[in-house]
Amino acid sequence: MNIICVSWGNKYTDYIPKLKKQIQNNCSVDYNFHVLDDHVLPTHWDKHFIPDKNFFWAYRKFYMFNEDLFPFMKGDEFLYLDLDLLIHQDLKYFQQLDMSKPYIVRGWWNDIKNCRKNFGRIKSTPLNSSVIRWNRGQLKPIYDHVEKYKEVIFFTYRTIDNYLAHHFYDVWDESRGYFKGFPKGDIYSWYKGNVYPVDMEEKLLRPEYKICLFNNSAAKIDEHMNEIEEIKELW
Amino acid sequence: MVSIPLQPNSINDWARAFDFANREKQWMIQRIKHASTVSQSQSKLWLTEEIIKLNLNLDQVALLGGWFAHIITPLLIENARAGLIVNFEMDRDAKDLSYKFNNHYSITQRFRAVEKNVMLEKLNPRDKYKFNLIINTSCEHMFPMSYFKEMNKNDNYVYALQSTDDEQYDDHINCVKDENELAEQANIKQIYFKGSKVLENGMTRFMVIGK
Repeated sequence: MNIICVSWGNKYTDYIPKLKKQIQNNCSVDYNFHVLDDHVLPTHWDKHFIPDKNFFWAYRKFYMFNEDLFPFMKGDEFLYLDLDLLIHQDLKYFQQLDMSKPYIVRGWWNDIKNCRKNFGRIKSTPLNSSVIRWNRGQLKPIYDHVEKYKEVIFFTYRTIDNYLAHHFYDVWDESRGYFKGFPKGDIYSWYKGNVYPVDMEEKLLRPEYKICLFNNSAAKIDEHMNEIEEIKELW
Repeated sequence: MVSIPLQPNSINDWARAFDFANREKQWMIQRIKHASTVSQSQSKLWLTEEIIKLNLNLDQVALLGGWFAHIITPLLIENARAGLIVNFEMDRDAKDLSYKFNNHYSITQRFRAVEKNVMLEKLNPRDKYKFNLIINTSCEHMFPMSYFKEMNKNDNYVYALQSTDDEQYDDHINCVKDENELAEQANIKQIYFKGSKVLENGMTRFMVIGK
């Protein structure tokens, strides 16, 4: 299995060895770890990014959906991990999933009715692209779609997760999405909780889960994981 | 002066639509309220008045992102004698509710709603419709309309567009400074009407009609 992280700029470079160490400690199957950083990431979408708007700012993650851009990534199985996460359990689980569809984090802490309400306003996505599992070629249609409509997409979508919810998911019938969401019990959020509305306690470790996410760009929280007392020994 | 026609069938449809939303889609109630303000009505009345003055062909009208289309549909059908109105809306709840609000027009084949993101999909790929007028009263929510025009090239299309300079809402991703910028953004070369109007909520709306 290929385990991938994406890093641009230098804001999170100190997270990379931390992630690598966590994977070493929590993966019992063979894997190759790839850091897609500024040295290997393409730049052909840079000109469509509008700095003043800062929309679609994590677009570089979508380059990996076209595996041909990274010929050093061999094999057919891919697991993408954001840099700012905590791995609790064996990543072998992700290799063994039924791959009839690719997987993405379904933020179960979101109220899906709120996502429906704000769909037209391009807000409140139920998806979170911090962890993605796919087999070779499965996500190429997303790369192609962005490539085809890049001008509109970079102008319109505040985040890549909003975009994915609009075009590769179905907030009205979640079984019909292009993606499957990782099931409840797999992944939770440090800042947002676990499952709406029954288990929404924030800043609570749930070590029986596979992964804890720490991103919270929507709330403009910019806390370094080093600063979080509860996870210092785990990270 | 044009007024919103209160037909018995529309009153019935509206009551049933509100009831349906209240029972089945409570999360949309607030959105319906936002779509039913004095200012929303004013902007649709203004649009209808100018369309009537221009005596445009309204056999088939496309609404882009028409939301619930509950004000504009009776206005155009009853006052401007529109033949068919098709609401292209990407929000499935809004699309479904637009059918409820316009039920009797739907039954009489004068209203349809289609789930579509009009900036990323062709409007009429199999030439099912013969649109004369394309209305977009929410250009501030979308990519500039020149892109749509290029994707859906058709010499018969007349465009009626509205936008605003009000940037206080985060879903206003494409405000313009005036009606001239709106026309420029949409690459409207023959301008039949352009103007601005301050609405009851203090928002200035700009409108351009042309092709």
